[in-house]
Amino acid sequence: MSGLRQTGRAGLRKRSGFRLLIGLLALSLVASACAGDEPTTSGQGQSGEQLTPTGPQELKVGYGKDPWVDASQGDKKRKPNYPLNADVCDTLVQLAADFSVVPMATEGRFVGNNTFRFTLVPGVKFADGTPVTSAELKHSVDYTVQPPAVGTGFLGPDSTKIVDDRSIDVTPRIPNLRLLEQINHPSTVVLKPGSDPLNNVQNSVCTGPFKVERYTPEQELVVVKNPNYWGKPAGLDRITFKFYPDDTTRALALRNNEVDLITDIPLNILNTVSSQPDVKIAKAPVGYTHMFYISRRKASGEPTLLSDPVLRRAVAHSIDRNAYVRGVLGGNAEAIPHVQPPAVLGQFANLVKGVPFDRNEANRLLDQAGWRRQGEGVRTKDGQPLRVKIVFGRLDLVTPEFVQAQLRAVGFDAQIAQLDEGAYRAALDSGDFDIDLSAPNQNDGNPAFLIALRWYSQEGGGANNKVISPGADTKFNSMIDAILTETDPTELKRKSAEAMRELLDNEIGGVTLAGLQRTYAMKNKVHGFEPHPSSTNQRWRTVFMRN
Amino acid sequence: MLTYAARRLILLVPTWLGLSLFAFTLSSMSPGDPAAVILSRELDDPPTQEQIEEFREQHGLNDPFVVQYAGFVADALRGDVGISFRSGKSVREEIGARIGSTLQIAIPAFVASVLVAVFFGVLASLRRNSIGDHISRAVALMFESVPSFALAYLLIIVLAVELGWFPVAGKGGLPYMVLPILTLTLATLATTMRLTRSALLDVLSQPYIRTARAMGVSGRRVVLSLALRNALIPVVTVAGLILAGFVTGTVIVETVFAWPGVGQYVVAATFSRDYPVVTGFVIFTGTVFVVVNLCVDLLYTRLDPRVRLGGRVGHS
Repeated sequence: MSGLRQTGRAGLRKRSGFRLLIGLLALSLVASACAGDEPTTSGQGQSGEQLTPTGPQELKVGYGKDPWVDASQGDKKRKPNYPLNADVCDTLVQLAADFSVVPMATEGRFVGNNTFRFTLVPGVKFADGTPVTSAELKHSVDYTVQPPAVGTGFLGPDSTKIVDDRSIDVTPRIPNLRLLEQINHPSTVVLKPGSDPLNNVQNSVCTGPFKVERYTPEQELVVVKNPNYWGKPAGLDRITFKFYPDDTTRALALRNNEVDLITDIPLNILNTVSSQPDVKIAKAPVGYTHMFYISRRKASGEPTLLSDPVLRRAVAHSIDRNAYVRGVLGGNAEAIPHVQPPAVLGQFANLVKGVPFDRNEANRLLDQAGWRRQGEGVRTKDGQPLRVKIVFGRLDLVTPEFVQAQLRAVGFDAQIAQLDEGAYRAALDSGDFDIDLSAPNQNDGNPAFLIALRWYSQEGGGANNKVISPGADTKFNSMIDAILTETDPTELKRKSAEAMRELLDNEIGGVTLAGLQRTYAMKNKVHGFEPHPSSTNQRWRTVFMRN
Repeated sequence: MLTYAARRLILLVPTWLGLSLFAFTLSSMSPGDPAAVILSRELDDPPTQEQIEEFREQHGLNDPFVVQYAGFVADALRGDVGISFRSGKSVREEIGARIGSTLQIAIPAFVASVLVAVFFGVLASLRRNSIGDHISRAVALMFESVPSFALAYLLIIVLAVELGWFPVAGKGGLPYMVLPILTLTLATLATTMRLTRSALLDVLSQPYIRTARAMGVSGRRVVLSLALRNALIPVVTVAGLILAGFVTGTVIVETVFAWPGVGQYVVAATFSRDYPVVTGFVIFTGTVFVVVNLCVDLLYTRLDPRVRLGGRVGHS
């Protein structure tokens, strides 16, 4: 909120309420710049020395709205791991910050015949001290496919088999060699039989460095250190996640020392938060994007306006990513062409170029296609206006307005439809849109996650896939076929990058506006926080306090 | 009075039925198939048409409108207004779990708003056109003109952040309640205060007041015992509306102060097309307003014995 004021240092804190009120009403914003070097968020000091914890090791985190109140039964079943990950449960394998998959409670590997073997790391035990065996591992995977199913990787009730007392084999019910990259999602955690997170998260038993002390819906989630943790003990004794639905209130709670760290700072208040003298900012690598999907056909099969590849290319050429990053996001993002974080493609990220911003080329393409324009007005062809409908999910209105302005500059009559959640979903499935703005997150290690999920034409695919996909007989689709059966990790990334290039540079299935970073603000006394590009894979075990 | 009360209670029935029919009709006309919505959320794969039809049969969604409405009314009279699409819990349970939190700030805010407004309204009328009168009206109008979210932020910045007197937000004991109550109180102060002032000024100009003063009745007794009771009639009407509005949820205040009340919940349900919740809340809200209005009407007879309800003019 741009109207927040800063009134200086602690010595002024006790001025009279009336004088403060007058000052505030004058609407002048006084920002005090941070003095000196920027404090680090790692466990090391300015000169590289290793810092040690001092004082009470209790962290209060200002989170957004309680994610489980309005959630589906499936999301509630994944308390307290998803969408908020309180680091209570270990996953079988873990998604590292560079999107590589590393062992966590198990080591996983492909053993052929569409089957993956997961073997327990030595010493893994539950928070109550009991050891974990393959029976509990099987239960943990089976839990995800029981209704309401939350599993990833096309698993079924018969997908998991016990190999020995430390290993299980998991076989997806359809060919899926991406299971290892998908199963690191916090939906699949090691969970003790008898645990019922859906109805009683406090009594659920996992293997992580923390355990749930209490959960009060819409107020707070409190976790405490697990004394029986099988790995390196957590730095903190207690974490309290306090729920603040309002972003400005969350920022004020940080300023008022009611919380020590706040998550996901909106960009419109980032500068205000970061200018507080005792606050430091931590940014994760790019973890999600702002982008839009382009509809090619309605659910009935009727082609849409943008089924014309020339028009799609004109749309892509008209978008100035740098202007979006600079003007809309205040420079707090990266102008990338990828629809997923480039890090997930590794060394092959540079294969994806995207369609460059070139308004002249956009105009030329439209002129060539017969869309004529009177001055700076809307283009028409055979009496029909060049009209497109923009819908959007959980994004601020400023993003569709930006796209609208960019398209109007080349003669599109871009109209924004503000829909509630139900109408939005209905529009996506029916194809009643031309451009769908979204902010997809990368929460697993599959380099083809989003392009396969949203654009792949497959039997039984989602309704929206049928609307936006290039089609079953296209080069892109066959590239995804190959990706789903690729076993070599390096080849997987290369093929995924090539498929993304085919989708974005040639097919123009979508356009990316920016790559965004999760941004956290915390008091200087918070150390060891390692921001993860995937918020659902954010861990808290390395954090400690120096009071 | 008992006859009047009984008559009004009987009138509640068609009023409530009309309200329930309106809510049920709106819900029925809403786009989207509730069976598809529920099954989409619960199943791993998109529901088939057979699954949707089976669900519709099981839950009476294919029955004629009148049959569905009759079932709805029968259930609603038992307090059952359906099952939330999102949570699978009864709407009564969901609203019931949150209404307590809303009442925790609504009732104190209402009492404070009325008491403060009446107090300053009386003072303003007695010191008409004085500096105090002008200042109090201007300040009250200022608070009412400021959007409630801005007022909330202002109070947080001044009283919590700068002065450190209260916490910023969250649900807890008395310190956590002060700022949301203060926000609600200040936002509704002006209307009640100005109404009190103008009504009292009108009453104080009546001949019987001059007579009372001429007969030596003390100024305090003239105002408090003779004039104020008559002046409060319009104030009671407005106060009833304020109370009903507070009780049925103040979503902005609840959101800013992270106060888990019913207002926030219903707004989220609306955006998620959780129609049973929306319908149930309409029933709840309407019932609250009807009951509050009934109480207000009954209060009229206590304030002014001249009011003969039911069209009869008689002697006590």
